[in-house]
Amino acid sequence: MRIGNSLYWLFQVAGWGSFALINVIFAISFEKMGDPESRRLVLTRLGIFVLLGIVFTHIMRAAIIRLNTLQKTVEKQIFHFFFISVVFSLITATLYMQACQHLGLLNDGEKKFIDKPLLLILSGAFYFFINIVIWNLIYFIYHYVTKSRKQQLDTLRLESLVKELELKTIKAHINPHFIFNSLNSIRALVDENPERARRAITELSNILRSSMQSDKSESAPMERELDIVKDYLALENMRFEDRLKIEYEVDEDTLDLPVPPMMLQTLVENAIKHGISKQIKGGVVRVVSVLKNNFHELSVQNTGVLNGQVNGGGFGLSSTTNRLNLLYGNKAKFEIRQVTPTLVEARVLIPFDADH
Amino acid sequence: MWIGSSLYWKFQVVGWGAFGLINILLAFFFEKMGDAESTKLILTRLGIFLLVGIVLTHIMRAVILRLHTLQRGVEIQLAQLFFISVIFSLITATLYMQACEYLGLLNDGEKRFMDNPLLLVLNGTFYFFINIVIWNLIYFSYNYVTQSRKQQLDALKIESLIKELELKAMAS
Repeated sequence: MRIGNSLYWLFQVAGWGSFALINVIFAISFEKMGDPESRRLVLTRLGIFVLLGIVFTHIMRAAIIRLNTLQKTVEKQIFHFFFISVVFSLITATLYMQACQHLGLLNDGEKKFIDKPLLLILSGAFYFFINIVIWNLIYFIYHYVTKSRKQQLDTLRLESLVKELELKTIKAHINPHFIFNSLNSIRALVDENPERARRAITELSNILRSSMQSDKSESAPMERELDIVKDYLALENMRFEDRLKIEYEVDEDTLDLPVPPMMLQTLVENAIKHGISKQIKGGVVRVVSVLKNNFHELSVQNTGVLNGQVNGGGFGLSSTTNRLNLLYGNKAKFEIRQVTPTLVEARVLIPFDADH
Repeated sequence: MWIGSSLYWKFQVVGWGAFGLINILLAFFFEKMGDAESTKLILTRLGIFLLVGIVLTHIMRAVILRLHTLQRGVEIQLAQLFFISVIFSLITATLYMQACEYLGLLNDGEKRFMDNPLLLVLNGTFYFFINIVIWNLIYFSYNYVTQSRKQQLDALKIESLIKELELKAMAS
């Protein structure tokens, strides 16, 4: 830490090197290096200036690290940097002027004030101060940029964690009312049709197992989701009997595609709850899964009118929208619309090439 | 946005004010303001330097805002910072030297190079460049500190949201 890494030394050499270079160019341009004597004077003074600059900014860096300046609040950091800059400018200027005087390198203007050494030091301190302030500002900004990049990474990591947790929280669960209704229907069947009751218990247990498994993954194959829906509709069929007609239009190519777990079940449950159950004569629930223009189109159509379905949509519809947003951003679409005066459609479009 | 906040103007006045004050003090101690003529020369030159400095750094800030420099990657920010500093140092030094020449305020050293105006401008550019680089570094530091504070706040908000969601996930 005290010695510094190679990037630090690259900055030091590049910074002080370009400072020296510009000074030499100006000295040549302004004919200050015409004879060997003045050339020796200019180059030796510049050499001492740069040498002291490098050595003392390095010691200053050690002081900044020792004082833990970068870990303090911004106000304290500014105070530290100002104080450190002033102290090190004074020390460096004192040594510089002493060296120049000792080696007989003072210029004519300075020789006039040789009896006022404090004034000479203060004048030198001003020029060192400008250089040291630039040094400190670059050092400060470099560390802020590094810190800011790390913070950005941390924030991104936290944001992804938020998405993951949001997904976990809003994952669809089996409605307790549905379990209650199914158990009631099964109870009625136990005496009159034990075979059907046994099958119904298997269907219900399949749904409950799938619901538990869905907590562990972000997506599930369409085929498994379709099986859940078939079990679910078979159970609902017990309750609605002839009032519920079920139709499927499933493209076989879509069976292996990943979909959010329990999403299709939520849409079907919504269609029964707000559509079929409100129709005295019942109606049709049609489940469609097809490929269309690079999208996997999943739709659930049901007999009914839209108003009640949207107003009472509640958790089911909003959670579907949120889950699609979290998983696919704005690439996925979800809409619910009145297709014909008696038919409502809830339609989900999932991008075919989604990274899941 | 273009006019700047009161804090921005406080920084401008304090920065250039301190620069002017130190220059006057050094000129005074080094007996460069012994007679009325040299006092006028030094104060007018310093006044022009400060005026040109304030006006041009303010225009530079507008350019930085227009170019959305602060919203870019660090490497692009550095390149733009350097490029903008060089351009504005050249413009400022040209205006400063032209004004000094026009008003007869060149010092003896500069008068010797009157037939080489490019050299005079480049010399002035170097001194303006140092000031403009300091100005830009302070401007960037200020914006980085503000941005970093905002990021810290955002991270804290997200952390609290995570805790809330974890609680909800546990409860469900």
